[in-house]
Amino acid sequence: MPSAGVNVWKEIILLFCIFFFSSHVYIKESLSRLFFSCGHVQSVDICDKPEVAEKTDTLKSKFFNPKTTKGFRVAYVVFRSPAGVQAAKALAQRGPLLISTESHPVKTGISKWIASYAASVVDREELKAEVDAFMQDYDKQIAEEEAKAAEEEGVPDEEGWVKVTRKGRKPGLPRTEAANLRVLERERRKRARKELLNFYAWQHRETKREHIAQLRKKFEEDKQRIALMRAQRKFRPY
Amino acid sequence: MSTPIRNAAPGSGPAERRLVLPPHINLAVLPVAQSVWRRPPAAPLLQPVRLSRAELYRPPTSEELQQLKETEDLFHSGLLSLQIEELLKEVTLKETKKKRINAFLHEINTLLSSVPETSETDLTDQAWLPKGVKVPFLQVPFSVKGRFRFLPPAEVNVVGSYLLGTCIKPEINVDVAVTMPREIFQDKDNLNQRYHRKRALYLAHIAHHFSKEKLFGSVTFAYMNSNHLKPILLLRPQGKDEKLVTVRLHACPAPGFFKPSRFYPSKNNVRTAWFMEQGTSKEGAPEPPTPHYNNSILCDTVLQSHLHFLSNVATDFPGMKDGLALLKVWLHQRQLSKGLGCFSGFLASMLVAYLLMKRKIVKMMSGYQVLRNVLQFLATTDLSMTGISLAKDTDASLPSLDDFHQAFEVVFVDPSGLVNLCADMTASKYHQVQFEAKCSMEVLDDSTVDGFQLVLMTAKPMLRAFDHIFHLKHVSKLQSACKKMQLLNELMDRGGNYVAAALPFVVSLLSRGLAGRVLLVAHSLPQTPEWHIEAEPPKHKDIGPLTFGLLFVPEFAASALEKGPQADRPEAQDFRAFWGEKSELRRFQDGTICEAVVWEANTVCQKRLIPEQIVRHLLWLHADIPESSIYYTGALLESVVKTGKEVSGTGEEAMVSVVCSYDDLSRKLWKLEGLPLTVTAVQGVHPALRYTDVFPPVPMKPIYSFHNRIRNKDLLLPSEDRPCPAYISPLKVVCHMEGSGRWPQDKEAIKRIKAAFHLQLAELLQQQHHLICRPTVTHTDVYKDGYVFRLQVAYHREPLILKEVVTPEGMLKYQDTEESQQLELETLHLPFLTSSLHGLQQQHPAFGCTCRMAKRWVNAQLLSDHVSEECMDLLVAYLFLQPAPFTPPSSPQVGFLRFLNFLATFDWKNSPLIVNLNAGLTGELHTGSPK
Repeated sequence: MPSAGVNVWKEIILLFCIFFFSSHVYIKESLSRLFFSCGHVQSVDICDKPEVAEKTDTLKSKFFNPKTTKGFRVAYVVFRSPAGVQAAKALAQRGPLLISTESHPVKTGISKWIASYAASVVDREELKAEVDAFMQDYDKQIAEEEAKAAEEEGVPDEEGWVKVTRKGRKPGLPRTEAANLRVLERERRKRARKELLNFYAWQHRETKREHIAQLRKKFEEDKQRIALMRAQRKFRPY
Repeated sequence: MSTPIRNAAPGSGPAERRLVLPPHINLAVLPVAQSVWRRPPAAPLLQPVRLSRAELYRPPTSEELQQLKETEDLFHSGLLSLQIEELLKEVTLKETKKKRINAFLHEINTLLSSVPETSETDLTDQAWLPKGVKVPFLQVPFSVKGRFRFLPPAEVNVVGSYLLGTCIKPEINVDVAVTMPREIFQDKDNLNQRYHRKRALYLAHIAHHFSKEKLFGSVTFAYMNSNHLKPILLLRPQGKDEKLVTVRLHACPAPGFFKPSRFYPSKNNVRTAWFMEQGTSKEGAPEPPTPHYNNSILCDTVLQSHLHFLSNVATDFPGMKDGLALLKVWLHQRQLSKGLGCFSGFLASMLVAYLLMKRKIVKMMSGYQVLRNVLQFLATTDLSMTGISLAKDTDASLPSLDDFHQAFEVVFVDPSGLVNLCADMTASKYHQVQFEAKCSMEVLDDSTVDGFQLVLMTAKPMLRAFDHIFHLKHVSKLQSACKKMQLLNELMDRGGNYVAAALPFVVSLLSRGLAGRVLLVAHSLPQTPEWHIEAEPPKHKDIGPLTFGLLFVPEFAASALEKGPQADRPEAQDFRAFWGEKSELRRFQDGTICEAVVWEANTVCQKRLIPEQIVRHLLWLHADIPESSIYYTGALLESVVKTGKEVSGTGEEAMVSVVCSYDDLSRKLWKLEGLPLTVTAVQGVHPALRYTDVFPPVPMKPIYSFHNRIRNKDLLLPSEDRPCPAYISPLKVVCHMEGSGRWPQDKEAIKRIKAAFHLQLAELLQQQHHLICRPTVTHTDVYKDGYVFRLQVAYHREPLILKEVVTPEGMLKYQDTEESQQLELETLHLPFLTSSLHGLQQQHPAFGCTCRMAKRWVNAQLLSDHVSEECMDLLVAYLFLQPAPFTPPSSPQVGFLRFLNFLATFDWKNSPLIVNLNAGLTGELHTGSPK
């Protein structure tokens, strides 16, 4: 059946409906109700962009979700049989479909706000339980990694290389950009300390020349700025 | 190689002429320079300077070396000297124009000799004067002895700045002294305005004849420096030159006619009986001295000698011309150079001459050095206490400086030793000049700001310079003030000008009343416009409203108590007399019983207006000026930050109570027991915690009947059929937790741990302090004192962990991501901003309110989407951190006005705005020079 579904998806159905609610559950419910007339709806998937791959991952956490994007989103409606798709395509001629009906009104205004406020209140126990569960998993994972690293400590791999880590008897330098720059800087300073800058006559001459060149350059810059200000009539006092 | 280029650039542009570089260097830079100067691009933007290696490292000539060195030593940057050159070019008169002016002057000279004579009549018989012209003099009282006839001038001389070459555009005035022949005068013409009236009639006759000439575009009268005793005739050429020049005819007496000793400051020349129009004078009653009257006659006798004196000074002194031009611009920008008692350009020239005499200036100095030395002198010398004199020989018969000090408020005696050049200036005006000079010196010495722009190019109108401003709408009320203050002698001295007579007394009254609260009480200078010769001369009340400005000492301006001397001291009587009914006996904490005045003020904004209460009270009590004549602008704009029905507060108290509650919460967080890691810092983020929230949250209590209670969740849910509950804006607070090895180094895990902290914080606050808390994943809301604080836990390494990227080689790199930037903004930058601005508010109490007004304005223009709230905070903070050439605002009103002006005038395209919070930036970084 899923293969039939994939084939059908290639025929793109454009449906424009505007949803004002953010809850995934709510959108899914409304969509399956809307398309119920076309055939049995197996599932509804919501994603940010049109994509062909089948979405299988369900949301693991109730509290820690990545931010939902604002603006348009795409929903895939999966029918149990291909006939449903055909029927859905024919819907376009039937005029608009209503989401908010008398039997299932969409909450708006103050009642919507009240509902979303109520939904925003977190059940402390539930949150605590989820955090604890996650942290247990995380700790276990870290412990496993550490154990593995400890096992490999000092053991050469098949080509004979030994991996140096920050742990162990001889910790190596951390492989970060900042550490690299620090090393380079230290080298440079060491070299600069050894070098004499005003030893030879030509060095002396050079610094003088450099100084004058700097002054000249600044003078040119100033002149340019003045010209610019004159162009803007900046010198009319009043 | 250089020849073809030399030919290609014949006298290339004005810029080239002014550059003092040796010629070959100049040519080398021409390709760059010329393209910029000839064709200014449509949208001018600074381009990086490109100089080839050959140009940069060419061997320098000695001239170039000297010039480069001079720029380095004398000016903070070469920019200043170039800027001054440009300014001078802008204001100096061109040679071609001078030729046209000279031709015009020659024609006037010939015309003057052809004005017909008249037969002699009494001074009061003015029937001979044709209908087309009115006497440019307020003849009160009318009757006066003496006879007048017109005779052509004995001499016509150009005097003043035109000949010295120190006059500056846009107002070129050429002063011409017309010497009235001796035959016109009789004995005793020094008395009772007889000289002044002859002078006026003389000018009126000339005016009548000139008005028929085709040569003139306009012939009008004006008062010299708005002194109504001294009318002058203004002549402008016909046609397109009309705007170019104004020739001012001054009539002056035949030299040697008046005996100088008659005009010493202690002498009387206006008889009380005549002035009061009484038949006979009271026998024996001593006549009061009339120093101002005497001075006005003496001025006319020394016009020539002043010119000679100044031209002696100006020879071989090119810097004087430039320096005076700069000084005149400086004075004009500060509105000090026009009106009665102004610091005129002439006065500035005399001051330069004085400094030259005292060797504080030498003739080698450049214009900029002259400016600096004059400002330095002004800043450090109080001419109202220690006058100065240009007279060289100490003639014992001449009046001493002390004599002058008794007669005048400010003393600067001319070379003749007779004339006080500052006769009409009030002490307050001089103090303002001093204050301005001090400020300007500070700016010029500060290498981090563009001194040129601030000192010479920025106008300082009273409205933006002073914290509070009030206008005296009806100056005629000063007449009754003169009566109340018994200023008859002064009135006589000033020829009936009650404004000039009363002004020094009113200002000193205010200075005494506001002593300690204000740095400066300043007033605008009375100014009369010129008038057509057919019109009656303007009266004293025609100067329009008189403006006063107050500059506050922020610490004391709003104090509600004026503590006087102890009740049993003799000064107590004086204190009571000064404050009138407001003064009452009070017992103080140290046990003393003192006279004191307590001003009624409950809120911060009312306290800011205590100076208004003082001004109104004193002016009514001592000068009979009714409240309706005083238009006080101190808090007119504050209504936009007031909220709610109680009109009194501007939300500043609300802000303080928010901060108090927040401080309490942060203390509680610090001391919280039972947390696995300690709290290292609690920092506010919300604008109310830096006093810049337009409408700070007010404490709210939920109305239980409007809510449904949901027991199992411990929740109050608003019910649909009841009114919507009030919105409580949450106050965001960041709570930094101690760093520890126990923090996970994974971003998802950190999120979980933070959520766990939120839960725990909520639980502990509830247990230990009984605060209602509502934890969520990203924060915990704490309901306290009617406010809602939104606590957000932060871990200092989290932004770093979010930035981590591993390169294909396995190296760890840090890269900004959207998420990390957002987190850094929330937990690093905003708390820093909030604490810095909180500090700024402690230094400048007007900061918060100014900022809120500015935000209100931006919101009202529908621009709040484009300018973020933090950006507004920083813009306003800039005005307080970098107020030059002003002082930091001490009232929200002036702060807001400067904010608007700042937005309108700042050159956003070419200069970066750098807000130096906590003076954290120094040196090159701060000046914001490109590169």
